[in-house]
Amino acid sequence: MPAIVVEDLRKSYGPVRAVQGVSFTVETGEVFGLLGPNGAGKTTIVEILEGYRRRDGGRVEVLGEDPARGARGFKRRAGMVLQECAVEPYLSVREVVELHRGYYPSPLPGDEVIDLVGLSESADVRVMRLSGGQQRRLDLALALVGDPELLFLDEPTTGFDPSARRNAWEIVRSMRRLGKTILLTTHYMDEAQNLTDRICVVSHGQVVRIGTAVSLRAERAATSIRFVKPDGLTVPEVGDLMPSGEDGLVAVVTDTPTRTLHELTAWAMAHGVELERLEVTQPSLEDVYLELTGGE
Amino acid sequence: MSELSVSLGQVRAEQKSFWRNPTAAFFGFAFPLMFLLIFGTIFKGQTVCVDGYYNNRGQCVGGGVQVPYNTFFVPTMAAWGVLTACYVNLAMSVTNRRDAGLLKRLRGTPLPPAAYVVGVVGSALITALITVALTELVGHYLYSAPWPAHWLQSLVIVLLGGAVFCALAMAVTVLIPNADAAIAVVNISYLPLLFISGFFFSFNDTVLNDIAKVFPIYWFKEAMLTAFGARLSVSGWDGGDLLVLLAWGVVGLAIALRFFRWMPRRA
Repeated sequence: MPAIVVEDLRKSYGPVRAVQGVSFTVETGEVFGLLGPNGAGKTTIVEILEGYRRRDGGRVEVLGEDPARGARGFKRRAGMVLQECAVEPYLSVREVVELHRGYYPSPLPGDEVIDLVGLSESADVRVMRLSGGQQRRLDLALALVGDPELLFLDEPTTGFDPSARRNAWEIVRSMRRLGKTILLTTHYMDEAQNLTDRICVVSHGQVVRIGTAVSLRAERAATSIRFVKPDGLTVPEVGDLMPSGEDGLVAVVTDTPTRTLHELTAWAMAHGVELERLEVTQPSLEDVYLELTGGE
Repeated sequence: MSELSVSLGQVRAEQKSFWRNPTAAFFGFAFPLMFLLIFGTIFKGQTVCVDGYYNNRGQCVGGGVQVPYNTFFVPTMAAWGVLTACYVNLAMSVTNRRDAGLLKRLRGTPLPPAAYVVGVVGSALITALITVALTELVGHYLYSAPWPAHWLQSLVIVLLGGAVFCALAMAVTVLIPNADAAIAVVNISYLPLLFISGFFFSFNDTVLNDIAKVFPIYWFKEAMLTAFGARLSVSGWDGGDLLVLLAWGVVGLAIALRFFRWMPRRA
């Protein structure tokens, strides 16, 4: 049974059509990424799935329930990391975690959760004295404390420094290994690429593409061969020639990289020149993403 | 976990947060006690005309009975303490938490909304009882005010009034657009009423008096004065006081149940 089913979901705020007919399915045990620029409708979609917002139309099922009915059973089985949600500032990390443990029928041990998110050394520190990154880790701890089957992570690493992000990724991976289903929103490409099984690219409230990072990348098959243009020579017409950018490299874009590369190197050798800083690159997910979302 | 233990856990967490927060502890607890000391010292040895007023010859008229100032102002300061803990502090802290997304977070957990409300209301009532007890002790030992005339009645009135003002606090959060506006809305909604309800002194103005009698603060003060034995013209329970008070409680509860918001208002 899929963990999440979304069919033709629609939501407007006054005249603004924030979500326009979005459909996707998240399988149990899958890490599913909603990727899109700010204002694409990611948070609206997630908040409808979490039961915070009413939808205007379409069908939504989360863990077999309609979240709009606000049943407690569903909240016991799902953990949420929300954007910009404070924790009681005058309680310590341990006190908050213990308080939240009391909300769930079979919570994880408090120390284990605190340790998992790397807050052991700050367990007795009051929430108000935590750094921004530590507070986000506490968010994650509170989402995990009820031992959920399903995790909603709405931009969980925004504002993290690189090492904190790596740690958060490690936690997500370990949750995945435990068989948890995870719905993640992000506008970081590398995060989507590193963590998710499938990516759903959202733009202007619509699904642009769903697929694995590899399959999305494969959509733009063209490979770039880049090098410093030798002085006084004209590059032969073996592919689409792109003028040099900031890095001073020209790029030849081709669907047949083996052949094109052979032709270019043969041409260079015939003129007795070296192709300085020669490189062959695959399109990055970022290129695909920018193309799909219209470069926003 | 049973509902009861979850609710008790919330009360405990609320109490911890309250006493650790210097601003809350000052404005929600120490503020009325400060005025107890100030007024107790200023008006020491004077009298007040309860339920009436002094005419220009200095006689207590208009159905009033003259009592020592300390006998009168210990119950009114205790009443103010209840208002502070149950109305002012509750409305402010709930609004602040709503705006900070704390209530939104809780809505994403299986914590029943009722258990959360029991937590904040229970904690406010505990704070109110501590304030009243301390006011009594200070009033009795420092300003030789008498002990409450009716102990059980005093306790019931404090809890009942406290519960009514908790309901009104939850209702008033509906009118407060954001945390920045909380202090203004809360103060404007109750401070003028304190003065025209005769918390500090009696006066002769029928218009102000009639206005005051529309609101629950006046009737709560009356009920407190009765229970503590400062209204010599009345003894025992006065159903009239409680009627208006309870009606406001019901209105507050209805508004809170219908319109209370858990989500912060975003631009």
